[in-house]
Amino acid sequence: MREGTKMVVVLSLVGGLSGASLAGVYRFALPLIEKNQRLELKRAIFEVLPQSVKYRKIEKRGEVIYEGLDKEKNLVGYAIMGKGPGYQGEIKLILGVAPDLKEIKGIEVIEMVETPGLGARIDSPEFKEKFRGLFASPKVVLGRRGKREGEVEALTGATISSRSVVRIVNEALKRLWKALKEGNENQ
Amino acid sequence: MKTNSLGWDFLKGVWKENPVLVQLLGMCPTLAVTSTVLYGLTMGLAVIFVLSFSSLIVSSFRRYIPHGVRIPCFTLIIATLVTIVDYFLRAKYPPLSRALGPYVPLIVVNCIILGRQEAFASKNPPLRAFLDALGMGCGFTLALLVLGGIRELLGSGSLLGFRVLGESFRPWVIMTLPPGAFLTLGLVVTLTRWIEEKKSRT
Repeated sequence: MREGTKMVVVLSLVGGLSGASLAGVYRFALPLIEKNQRLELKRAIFEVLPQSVKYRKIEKRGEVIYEGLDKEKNLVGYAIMGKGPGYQGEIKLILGVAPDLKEIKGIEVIEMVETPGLGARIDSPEFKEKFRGLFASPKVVLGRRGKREGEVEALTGATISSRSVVRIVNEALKRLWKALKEGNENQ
Repeated sequence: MKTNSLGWDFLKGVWKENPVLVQLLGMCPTLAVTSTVLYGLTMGLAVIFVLSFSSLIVSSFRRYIPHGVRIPCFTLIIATLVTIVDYFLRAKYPPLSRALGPYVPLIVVNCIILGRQEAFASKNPPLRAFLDALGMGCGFTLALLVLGGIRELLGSGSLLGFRVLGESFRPWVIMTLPPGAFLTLGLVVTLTRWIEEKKSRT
């Protein structure tokens, strides 16, 4: 066989084999990965709406919203997904808001690839705790001391990541208001 | 130990030709994921797996891979194994997978792995290539454990998540940040060079 032909054949063969083996591994891994994501979502909703014991998925104006319910099936708040660019890649988080749509119940980071040790601290309890109980009027702002109403203190050495989280929270809030407030008025 | 024995194939990577401390390869994961022992250990095990099996495969098929396309072939084999590790972590250990973020997929471009294929596995029989890869992987893991241990101990006052230093210890935050990685790496490399020099004088 000519050298050129051999190169094409071998490289195609290696590519085909690696593709086939990955397809096999993927079929085995996908259900587990999806199950993890479902568990993660459930855990995240209960985390951002602390009083909730179960949740219900609703769709309004194209937005997927999760209603958190307590033991007596009373509404304890809404949860909505938000995502946007961070410092290194996309940040995906879930936001929990009280039924008055003003008080933030909590945030939970679902996915991020921020710098370990720096931006990755947006996923630390200390940072997430700062959002709990904030009044968004009309939005959350990033500050230095966390003294004003609706102000969150930025993480030292991770200003861009902190700013991204605040932006994503505000954007998710806006979508939640649009889906729920105007939706009710028009009905 | 004789330098042409099977034992030496394994052992040289652990100390004498340690990929991190002597060859200074694979610096990106070394610096990035050693903020704690656990992350260092996970990265080390992932590299041992990818490196050993890619060396084994490359060495077994070394006569069939044309010289002109050897690098793309090695890269494909390595990338396949790395993706398997990535899926495995995502399926079985999602918190670890989340913590390591992009650094698991980035094992593909770790030059220790491609370097061993080019320098050793493509020229030697499978058993020797496997032992060489295992040794290099262990050397890499050892270096990451030492770095992770020092950085976690001083940066968080804990080891493997357990608090070791008392409440009165104030963590040196810099150790968990990138400068801490460079400082620790520099000191550990200096220390290993110093030990080697002392050994060669006597």
